[in-house]
Amino acid sequence: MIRLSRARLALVLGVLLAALFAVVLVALATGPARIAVGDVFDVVVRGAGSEATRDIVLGVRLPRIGLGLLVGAALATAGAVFQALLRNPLADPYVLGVSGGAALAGIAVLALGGIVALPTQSVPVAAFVGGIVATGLLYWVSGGRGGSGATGLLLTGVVFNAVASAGIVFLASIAGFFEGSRIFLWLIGQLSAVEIDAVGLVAASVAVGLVVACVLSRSLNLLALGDESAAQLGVPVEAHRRALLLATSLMVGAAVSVSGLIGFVGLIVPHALRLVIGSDHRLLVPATAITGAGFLVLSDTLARTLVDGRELPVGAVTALLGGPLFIVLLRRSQARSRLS
Amino acid sequence: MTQDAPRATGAGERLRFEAVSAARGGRLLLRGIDFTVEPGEIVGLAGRNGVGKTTLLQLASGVLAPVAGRVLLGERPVRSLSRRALARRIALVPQDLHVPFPFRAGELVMMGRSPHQSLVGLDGEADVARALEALARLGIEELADRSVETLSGGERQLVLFARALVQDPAILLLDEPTAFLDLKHRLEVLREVRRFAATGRGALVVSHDLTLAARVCDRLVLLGEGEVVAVGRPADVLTRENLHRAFAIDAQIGPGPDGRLVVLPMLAADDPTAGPGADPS
Amino acid sequence: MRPGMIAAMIMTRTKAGPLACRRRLRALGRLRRSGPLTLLVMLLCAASGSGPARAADESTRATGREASPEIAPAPASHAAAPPRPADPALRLVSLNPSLTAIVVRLGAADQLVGIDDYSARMVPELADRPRVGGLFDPSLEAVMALAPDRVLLVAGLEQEAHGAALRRLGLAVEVFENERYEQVLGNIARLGRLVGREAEAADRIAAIRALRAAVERAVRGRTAPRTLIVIDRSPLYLVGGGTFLDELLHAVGAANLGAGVAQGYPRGSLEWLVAAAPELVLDLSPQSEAPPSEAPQTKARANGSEPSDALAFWSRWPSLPAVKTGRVLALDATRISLPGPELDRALRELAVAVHGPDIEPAIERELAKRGTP
Repeated sequence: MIRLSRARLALVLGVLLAALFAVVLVALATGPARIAVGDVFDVVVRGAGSEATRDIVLGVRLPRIGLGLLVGAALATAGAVFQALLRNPLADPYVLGVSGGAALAGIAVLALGGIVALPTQSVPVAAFVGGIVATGLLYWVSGGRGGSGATGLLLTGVVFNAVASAGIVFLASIAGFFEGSRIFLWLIGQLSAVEIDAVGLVAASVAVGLVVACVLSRSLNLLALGDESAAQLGVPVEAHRRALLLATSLMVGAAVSVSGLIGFVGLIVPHALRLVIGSDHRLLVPATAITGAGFLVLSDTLARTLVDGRELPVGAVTALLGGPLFIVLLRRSQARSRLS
Repeated sequence: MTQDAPRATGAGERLRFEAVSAARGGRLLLRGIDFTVEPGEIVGLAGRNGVGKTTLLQLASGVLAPVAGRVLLGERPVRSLSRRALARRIALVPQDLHVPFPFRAGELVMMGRSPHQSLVGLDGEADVARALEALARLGIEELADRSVETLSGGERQLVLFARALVQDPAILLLDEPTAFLDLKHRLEVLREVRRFAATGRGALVVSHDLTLAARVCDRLVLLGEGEVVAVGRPADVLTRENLHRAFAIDAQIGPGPDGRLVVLPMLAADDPTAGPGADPS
Repeated sequence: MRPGMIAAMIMTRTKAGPLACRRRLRALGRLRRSGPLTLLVMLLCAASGSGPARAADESTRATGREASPEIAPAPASHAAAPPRPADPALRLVSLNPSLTAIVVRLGAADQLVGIDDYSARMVPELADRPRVGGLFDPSLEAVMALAPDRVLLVAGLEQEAHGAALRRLGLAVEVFENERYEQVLGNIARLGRLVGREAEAADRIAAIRALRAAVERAVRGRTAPRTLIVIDRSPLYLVGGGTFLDELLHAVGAANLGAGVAQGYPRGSLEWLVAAAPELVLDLSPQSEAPPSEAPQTKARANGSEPSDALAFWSRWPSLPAVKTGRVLALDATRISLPGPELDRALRELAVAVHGPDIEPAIERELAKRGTP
């Protein structure tokens, strides 16, 4: 019988971490400024190299990679947690409209911040609150038990996203700011933001969220069987679910406040991993965090090198990859529900 | 990693319903239910569809609060125990379970160990050994690495039963555990329930198969219209009057070839459900 | 985020008490230094094509009333004949701040019966004029209600469609282009004819040309620093080639690195920027606003000596030659990047930014030489 031993956990996470390391190296060595891999190595390992090379590798690429790691881990893990809690493999913070709620609240604070001086740190906080509100509404609409069918849940997400986009556009036009490029920045997520004042707060939020999700990963296994089963197997359902939802909203809010709406990471990564390492969340959650981080960094590397010297939004890359997968999954789940 | 501490209360706990009333969706479903599952005893629970059998199991497993009365495990109300403490003492085998993710059967069985494991823990040797043993007893070792999604209803039921066994409870609750099972597995499950009770622990079994219930259970609880119609030894409970009150059917009850009770239900004395093949002449 | 702009939007819609008045003034003061609307103006310019076909059918556009006589037949004289000086009382609606600014500079502010929101923010003295909406979303109904003789707009994706709609409704629409330096001068002349102030327009154009010539002579022989103009930091937008700012940079003796990226106002990659190693970074982004205490007009001139948070920002990449030499300057976008009537001022400030304050006497000398041949 396949069992989750320490050795298996260490093996899987070790392999994934090694792959993540490789992805980070590739991302460090790739970019519009052609820098030889050897020079990149010199800079990273020995701290040597020309000042310009150091600036590009450590001052441009590395912070962006760091941001990608944070956002990717947060979104992917949030997807895995939502899927277990809602017992729906199609759940994803973007699809469900949780990211949209976070973005709307974040932008509302940006708009309001022009009138009453608010510190920039309040944007991730607001995004967190927006994520919580959207999550709460989602639970309320789905009847609190998380048992509503895929279609109902997805419809709710569609409506949330429509409202959030409308709200964002509305706020942007009455506030009269970030026309064009800036609203684009929020609506199609990207990692190119170079001015992030609250990066410490964001990193801390993501760390808290990941720790909570990992600690409660056994409960996720049981919650995925339904509230009643989980309770009968000893899970304090309400307490653990509340902790998980708060942690997830915290991560999503933090991610959205620095990157805007990047979709489908939370859908693609847990799904692909389940095919390979199985569904045990004690392994799946940390594996999802690592893989999500690597996936987003890789997608962003594509985004910034695909067209020479120009920047594509990474949200477009993930949506192009995730959209078709989503359709396939939806079709499969429809077929299954017709069978049963 | 594994907390394989001996059960503090272990075998010999009594599950007691004291004047329990319960509501479902604002409707009073059960009124003044009073009975006990003694240690080492198998109690059968029978009654019409929708009479509240599953609700009664929910009361016993503490996921539903009674609107009146008490459900006691030993001397303590089940709702006063922590989820974890309760899960170590009471295990439930549901009728069926929708699992939205491709968990392996072995993983599902291992989840039965979770109330005994620490919050962040992996699977220790002892846990795995218990799971393998339960699978082997039910003759389903080969299912261990199959995805739950690919199992048949009966296979899933066996896996859930194995999960309840590894939970190592003082009380076992079974909700129609044999509904999807073939004859052989039906008997194997009942044999395991009997073996479980033989260790001095109690079981409460919901069943529609009154003949099988009469054969396995020490006592039966017959529910009708939200109340207990009769409690007692199968021979005392399974009377034509009681069955008519509980199910609004007629029935022929008598000793079978081995001398044990056989219940033959029919809608009326001249049973219109009987086909010509049923006529022995 | 543009605090001033939002404040201004709110303030201008309330009845101003003494307190509100003061806040409004302060908001407008800050507004002057904010740049996004110019970014927008330029982006709009960049979005427009400039094929020969556009110039060819210019005249029919200007007299668009003929296109739909069934809706609102206009007096033929009005539509067909070009505006004459004898017809000074044309009622104008401007949908673009750069055109608004030219009309106002030529002294014909009274003829503007309606303006877009951005014009109102750019030209505070017009704050009380009827508004017809934003650059992207002018209200056709509001424009119609003002019954203008001419609607002024700049060719661009959105504006194009609005122009067409307005013409269908029977209004005369004047389409302008302001991507290039000469186009801007042409706009001044054309608007001068339209408002009957050709002399003022000619003076303005002559002043700009004279200053450009003087600047070009003054900077002759000086080394041309490798320069980047940053319109916005996040996301990063640069001044590319084929733009009037590119031409102005060239005129003041700077090499525009952005011209190598793309035409127009391309979205830049930070990595490319660091690799390009600019010797001079002119940061027009709204984030580079200094604290609102100083008088904004002196900001550009004082640059280089005044500690700027633009320098602090770009110092994150210390290998940038511009950072090493402290040549990261925060410039007031509204004074530099509006393709309006003050290109001479923009040239002068850019020249100072590129060559330092001692270029000014040189420019004055060149101007004086030209003045007394």
